[in-house]
Amino acid sequence: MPSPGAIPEETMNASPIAALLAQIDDHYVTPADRAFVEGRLARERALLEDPQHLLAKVIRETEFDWDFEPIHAGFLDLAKPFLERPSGAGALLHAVLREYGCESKGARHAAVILEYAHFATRINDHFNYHGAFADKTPDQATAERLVQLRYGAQWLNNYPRWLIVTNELDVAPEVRIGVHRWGHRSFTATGIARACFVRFAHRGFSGVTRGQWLAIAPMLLCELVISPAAMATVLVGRSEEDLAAVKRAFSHLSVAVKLRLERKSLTDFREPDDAPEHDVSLPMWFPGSVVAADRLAVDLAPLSGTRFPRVKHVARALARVAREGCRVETLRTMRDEELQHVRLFRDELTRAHLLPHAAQSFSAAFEKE
Amino acid sequence: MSKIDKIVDGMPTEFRDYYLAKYERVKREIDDYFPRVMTKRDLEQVTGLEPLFEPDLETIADTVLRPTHEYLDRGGKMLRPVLVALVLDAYGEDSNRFGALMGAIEVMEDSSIMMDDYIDHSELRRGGPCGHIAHGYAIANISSCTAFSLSHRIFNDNLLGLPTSVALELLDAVAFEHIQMGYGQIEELYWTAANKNTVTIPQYLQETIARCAFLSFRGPLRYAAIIAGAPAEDIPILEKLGEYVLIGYHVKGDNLDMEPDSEAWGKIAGEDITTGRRTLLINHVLRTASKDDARLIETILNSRTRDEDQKRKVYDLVKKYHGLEFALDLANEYNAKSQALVDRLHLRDEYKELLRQFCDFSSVKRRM
Repeated sequence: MPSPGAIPEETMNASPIAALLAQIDDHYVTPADRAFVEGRLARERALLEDPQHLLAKVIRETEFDWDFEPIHAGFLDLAKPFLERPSGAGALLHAVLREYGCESKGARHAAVILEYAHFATRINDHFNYHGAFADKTPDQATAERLVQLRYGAQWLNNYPRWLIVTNELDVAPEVRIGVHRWGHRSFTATGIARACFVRFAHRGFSGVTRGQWLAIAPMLLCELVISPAAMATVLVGRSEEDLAAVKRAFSHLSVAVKLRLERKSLTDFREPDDAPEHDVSLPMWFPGSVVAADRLAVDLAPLSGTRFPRVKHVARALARVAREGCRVETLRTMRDEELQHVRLFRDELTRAHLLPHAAQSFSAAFEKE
Repeated sequence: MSKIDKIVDGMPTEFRDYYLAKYERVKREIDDYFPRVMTKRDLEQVTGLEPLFEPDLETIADTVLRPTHEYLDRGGKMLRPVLVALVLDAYGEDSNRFGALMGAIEVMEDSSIMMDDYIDHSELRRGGPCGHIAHGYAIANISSCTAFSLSHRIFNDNLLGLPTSVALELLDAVAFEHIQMGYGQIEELYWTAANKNTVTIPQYLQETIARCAFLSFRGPLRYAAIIAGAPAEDIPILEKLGEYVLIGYHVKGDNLDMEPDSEAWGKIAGEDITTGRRTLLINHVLRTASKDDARLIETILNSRTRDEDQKRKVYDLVKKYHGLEFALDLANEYNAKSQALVDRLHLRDEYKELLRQFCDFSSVKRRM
């Protein structure tokens, strides 16, 4: 168990929610939750490679012939670095389901949907931030590999929907509709936030306000923070009002997580290496709230390819400027704001009489500093 | 010749009249369904999240909505929404009540072709720059995926107000199409990256169906039939019909890529050679050519060349080994199979005739 307040860099690179969960005591997200998800993901991985399973339940038997050679050579071999660590979103889903009193094994399969969505986002981020695409004519071989990977991400996003279509989740029709719907909304939110991040980076964050930056925090972290709680609320068939309250609460928690990650990146943070599986953490730790508030700028010319600025380079250069000029009062203000959003998170759940243990556990984790 | 005249060139008469009436309707519906600006309320609806702070709505519209609108504004054939209207009308619904659905289907098409364009590293589409050329790969990638997801709101949020059982049947149908699309895409990209020459014709046909049928044309046929409450026994026939028409449509598209017969094609000829695609006609030529000719084709395909002389060499060999004729024969074969399926549907004769004409045009007679 890491010491309170310190986010291990390796964990932070993998998943901010995993880092946060590591600070919560083991009574909310338990080792058994994590073990179950890891076991379930291992089982799903075996299914993903099994043509008989694919034919029976996923892509189905057809009049013509499938080629199964691409499973490994065209997808799994390329995607390996992105598939190795679960984000923690699946384990959080389990914890929330338990707090709702849901012991359904079927509902717990939804952890696969959340974790595969995260794997897919990691790959997409790798594609989106790849420097090769800043050039007018990307190197052909690199571009082909990246496009292959990106379509691997599409497969990862779509594949687990077999669990919904065949109702492995063992839920009522209205709930299945809710699961389909939330999956799309979460994907849309994730995309909108990333579109903003890339465009902001292309502009060197010029003209971006602090409010505009923090507005995308819930969407940037949607798959990790909001989605587990929202998905659990859908799976147990709670009302639309309850679902709205949960999403509001966890949106505030997302802002708190975001500010905490930004604050840590300004103080005790070493830049992550260039490993592609770390790309997903880039917009999460990027201290955009300080960059926007202080209107920090860098010269984009040396950070650009022949057509567009390189997103990673711009983000790192601006983060360096933010770190160099970081003031104690800035950190204190961020910490205050972080705690304010944790209070809003807790108040929202309390008002709706929902998830008191989640409210208490996360609040306690944020109080540690 | 105007753009619409070029599109309907070769279209059988009755289908052309039906098509032209619906074409204008679809154009009007698109902006209502897929606006050009994003309000705070829109953002809340599409993400299911109440916005905190002040989101940069202009940047969201600029990155998520605008790239797809650039494709929509250039105007595609809009065959898919018209097909949806045709099936709705054929099964007794009034397609004019489903304008949003028609708009949604066209947005699905145009956002997804932006993805096709950066897969192929194409430069032009419908005479304008592709999304990744205009905005960069990252924005094209995020924008196409997100707009594609947005286009499915019609089903996800049950905007048509359908009963639960129908809404769920539709969502399951959409999920199945997306699952198949994901696997088909992996197959095609792997075959190209590995320069794989041992793909069989049944594998090629299955990959084409998996990758494209979500919109061409199994998906639209199935969605419209479910919404219209078509007889249960008609739905599998319509699904198969969609697959067979797609085969003809796709093979015809491969031929047009090699030998465009209309200035309105709007793409650079021979892009399949540049991307190294083992299309059906290339597959046929590689099987039937002499060893030296096959080796030359492979060398050129593997080089991913844009050089016109090199592309011309492949084209000449395709002609020499009758690749275009082989593909056209296959398109005709599946057109005939499609026509036979239409006869089995529980529809009035006038609608059967419209569907037959649609099959014929899409598989064989279209010129762009």
